[in-house]
Amino acid sequence: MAPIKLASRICMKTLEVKELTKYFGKNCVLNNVNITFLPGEIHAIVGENGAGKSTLLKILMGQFPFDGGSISYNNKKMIFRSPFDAKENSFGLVYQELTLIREMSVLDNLFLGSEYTKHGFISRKKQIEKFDFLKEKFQFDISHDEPVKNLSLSKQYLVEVLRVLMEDSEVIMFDETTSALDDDEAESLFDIIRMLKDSNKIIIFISHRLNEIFAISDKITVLKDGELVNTLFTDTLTHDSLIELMVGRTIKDIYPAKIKPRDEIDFSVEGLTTKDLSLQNISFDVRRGEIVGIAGLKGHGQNILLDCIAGIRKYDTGKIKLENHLIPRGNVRKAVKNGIFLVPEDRKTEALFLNHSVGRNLTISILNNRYLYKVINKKRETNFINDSVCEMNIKCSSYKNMVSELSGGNQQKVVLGKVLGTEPKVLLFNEPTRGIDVNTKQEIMMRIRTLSDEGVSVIIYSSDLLEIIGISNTVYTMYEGRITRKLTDEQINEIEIMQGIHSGGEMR
Amino acid sequence: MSLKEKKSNIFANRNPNFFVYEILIIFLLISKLIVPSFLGIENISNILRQSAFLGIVAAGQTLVIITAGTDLSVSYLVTLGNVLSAQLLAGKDENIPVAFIGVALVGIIVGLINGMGIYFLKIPSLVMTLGMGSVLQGVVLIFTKGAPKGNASPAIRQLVSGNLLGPFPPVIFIWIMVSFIIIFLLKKTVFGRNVYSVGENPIASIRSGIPVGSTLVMVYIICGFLSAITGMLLVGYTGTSFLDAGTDYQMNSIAAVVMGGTLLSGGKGDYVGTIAGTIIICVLLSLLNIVNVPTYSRQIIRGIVILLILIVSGLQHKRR
Amino acid sequence: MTFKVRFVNHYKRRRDIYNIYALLLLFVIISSILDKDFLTLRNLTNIFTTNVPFLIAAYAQTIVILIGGVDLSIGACISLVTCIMATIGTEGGWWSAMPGIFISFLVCAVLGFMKGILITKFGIQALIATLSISLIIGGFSLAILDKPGGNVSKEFSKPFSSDISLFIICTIIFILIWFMLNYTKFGKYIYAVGGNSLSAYSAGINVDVVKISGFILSGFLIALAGVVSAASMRSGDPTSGEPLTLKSLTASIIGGASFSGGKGYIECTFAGVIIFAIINNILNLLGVSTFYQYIAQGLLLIFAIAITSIQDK
Repeated sequence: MAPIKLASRICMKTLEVKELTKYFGKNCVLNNVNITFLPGEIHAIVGENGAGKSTLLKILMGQFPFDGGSISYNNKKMIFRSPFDAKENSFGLVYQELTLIREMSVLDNLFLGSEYTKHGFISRKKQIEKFDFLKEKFQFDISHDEPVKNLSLSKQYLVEVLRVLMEDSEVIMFDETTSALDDDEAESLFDIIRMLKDSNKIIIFISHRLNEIFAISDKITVLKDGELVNTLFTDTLTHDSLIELMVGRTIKDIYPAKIKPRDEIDFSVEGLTTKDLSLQNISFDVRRGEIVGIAGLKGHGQNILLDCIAGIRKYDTGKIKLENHLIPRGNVRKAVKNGIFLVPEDRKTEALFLNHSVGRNLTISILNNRYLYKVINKKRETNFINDSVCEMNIKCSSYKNMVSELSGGNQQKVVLGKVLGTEPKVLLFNEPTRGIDVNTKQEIMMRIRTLSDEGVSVIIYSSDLLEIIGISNTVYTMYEGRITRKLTDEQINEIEIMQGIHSGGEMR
Repeated sequence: MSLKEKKSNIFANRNPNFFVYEILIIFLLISKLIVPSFLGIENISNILRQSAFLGIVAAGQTLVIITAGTDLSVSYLVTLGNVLSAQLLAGKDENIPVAFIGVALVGIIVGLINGMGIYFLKIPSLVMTLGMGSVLQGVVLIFTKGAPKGNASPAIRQLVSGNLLGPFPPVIFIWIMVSFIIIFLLKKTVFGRNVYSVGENPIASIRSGIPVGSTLVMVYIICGFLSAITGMLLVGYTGTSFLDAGTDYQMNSIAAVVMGGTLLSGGKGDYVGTIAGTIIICVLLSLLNIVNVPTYSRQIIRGIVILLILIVSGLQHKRR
Repeated sequence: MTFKVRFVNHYKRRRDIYNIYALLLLFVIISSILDKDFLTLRNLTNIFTTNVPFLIAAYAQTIVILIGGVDLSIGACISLVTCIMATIGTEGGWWSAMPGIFISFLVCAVLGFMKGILITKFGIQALIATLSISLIIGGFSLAILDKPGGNVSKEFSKPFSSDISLFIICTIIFILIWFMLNYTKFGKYIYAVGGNSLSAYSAGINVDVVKISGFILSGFLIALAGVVSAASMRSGDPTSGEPLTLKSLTASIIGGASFSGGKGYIECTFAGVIIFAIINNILNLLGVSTFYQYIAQGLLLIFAIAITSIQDK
């Protein structure tokens, strides 16, 4: 009898996701997903951006409600109304962003909201005992008195992990926790994850780094466009076969045909380096009308590179030249004056005036670059706005609508319209199509292509590889702040890029 | 679209300034009910004269609040302008140019320091202007040695209490002029656009190529200039200067602006609303004065009314 | 671990505290060089005893700053309390002052609750909300006493005029607040809410309740400051508290409390108050007009916050 009982107990503790469906408005972000998570198993979930990984975790943690299907743990149906609810039921999630309070000590952060008390007062002694117990068990080197702000990034993530471990959670999820860590730091986190595996917990792991996934996971589930592709044992897969499963679709007609750029070199970056080595000796040339794609995993320096070129951030050595003219570093206004403009990733906080009208957003840059301290000519402004709304195909009932009322795609068109009004020479894009539906995506890609025909040089960073492949004349891959590969023409394909961004350029 | 929807749409899309003008009319009607002679030409002229002083200070405050700041030093600057001009005037008309230049310079310099501290040292505007207020208080005391001297010259007196059109003194027309300039700046110039943009989203402003620093500094300079000049005009009203001539202008100017529909969080609002807000406050003060409410209750009532306005404005903001 | 390493680590963690006390020491040295009367027991006790209401008011301000707010009505509240104390139970023994004390504490707690509600539930900026509250309170103070006057029972004010009992009061208050901030859930929640209210919320903390309670607690301290102030003046004054608003704010910021909230120590605020008091004292000893002290205060506030905001960058 005994063994059977044991087996059934293990069986009972599974987490089953059945026919899970979730809509955001009309967009189906998860469609009929079925996954079974077993205890004592590290289950990785992979997929491209927008495949639905994070949404799945957020549903499991009770942050989002779901529209169809069921979640059952321990054979009981679970519907969590809030993250607390999920925590109570021994679900824990280590977030991608840090949620620690920087001024407080490690100990205070760990026990925040679940303090150990004695006669109503906080018992530091008991808390330190528990901390030392964890320290012993998981072998880490952090002092409990240290304010979190003094810790290195990896140790801060470790504290974040410890916070989940403290609660004795049975289901532990990691949402790209390793994206900010270097290899050694990630490895020490993996030791802890393996320890958790040995103590029979359900572990769900999301990462963009395929190496890590192969190193740690037992099973891999591939999601694509909100649908389950397959769940397979890790040993049955290779890098290449996994990538194929992840991408698995052809480049649709989103991307217009490529045109050969002119030969003259318009814009060049020479030896860009920052002190903290987040950029190391970045050099490349952009020909007039060329579209250059930058590919890389999150946190490998692409954002910093674009910010440096746009003058938002300062670099320490190196030069940026436009038409043989040196661009001063760290000065956005000078960059804009010279025709270098960045379309940022986070348009709501960095590019748009949400509570201002579409018209005002469209004209603010051109007014400042051409007509500073002048009286606004209402008629010319209205004409410009009407042309711009029409040309960019911005869908709004009137240009007096507030930008916050528009959809993400139309908001991005407003940003683009604003930038184009100033007739830029070099356009930088950071994730130009994040959170945008396919049709608008196509419109924006067409627009970028026409711009390049008109002689504007374009530099694009996107985490969507298909986008990079579909639009770029040249692709540079980045790894740990360096450019690892330059790819042109037929070289621009997924395998080459994947290798460039995963392994620092060495062929495997 | 059903009638009901249409109705609610009209309310949603209409100019927010309507609301504050409605309140103004209600205030006037209530006052008329309490004091039948309230809307007499004499009293109206008096209210408008008071409104002119507050309105000019509130003009600068409007600009500052649209950039998502608040200038708490206006009251001390009014006082400083008041005592400084009285002393410089010394009762003689030929001193007017000197007094005007002196007062204007002080206002501009104070505004410049405020703006620079806020933009370059990243000091929160409230704290910067609070500290500046304390400094100005000290300057006033040192300058007057605790006992303000000097008095208004005939021309300044005439400016505030003379009759230009019927019973209306010229100062009202100065206010109208200032109003036109401010409304023009905000509505028709690139500078005005930039003021709104800086208040709405400072990061996007920098990245859109807006000269954020000079815009902010300019706003505080305008505010300082207008406050100091109001201090000078006040000399004409009272004849001499006082150590607390400006005290009431701190809260009153903020209240007038907020009541006029400009949000403390910045990026929205205009001076047209502030004008109504200013008159409402002056009507309230005039009413309390005529009914002869004791000083302390006047202060309490004023505080409660301002607080209610803040609550309403806060709720509106929260609903967004 | 060697002693040196341990010391360095310890220093790093408590840098803010050590730095402010080093600054305090520096001020003491400079002051004693500037004026030989400075470093006498009489002068030092004088500095301490005349600033007890200031000290308690600064604690109240620090707590509010820790939860990410600021209170510009502290001065007006203290004035109100002195007016209440000087009109209720003015004669007779120790116990006759009790109703006044009770009413003062009640009023300040209610005011604290109101400030908290205005800020959390109505979304009004702390600065503006407390500024308008201070206007209203000022009116009430004037309604009670239109000019300085009234009387506080002699029996009652006696203990507040002796150095030793003031010292004891301050020590007890300090220990209570320090213990509360470091060893109770509420204290930790204050830091958490001020440090990152979103994180605090996701840790299951009711952010609004913590903020409102913080204002109420600060209200109790304000009442205490007012009672001590009334007892030492033996009268009430509807404007006596006014300077304490800016002083308490400046002292907290000198002590390193950050306007963004969640950062600050009660022991640093203590040092900030003493530094402020020393500056005033030495200006007095040197015969500088009180008029200049306004300028000194304003500049001190601007410099202190400029330094912290540059550090934060």
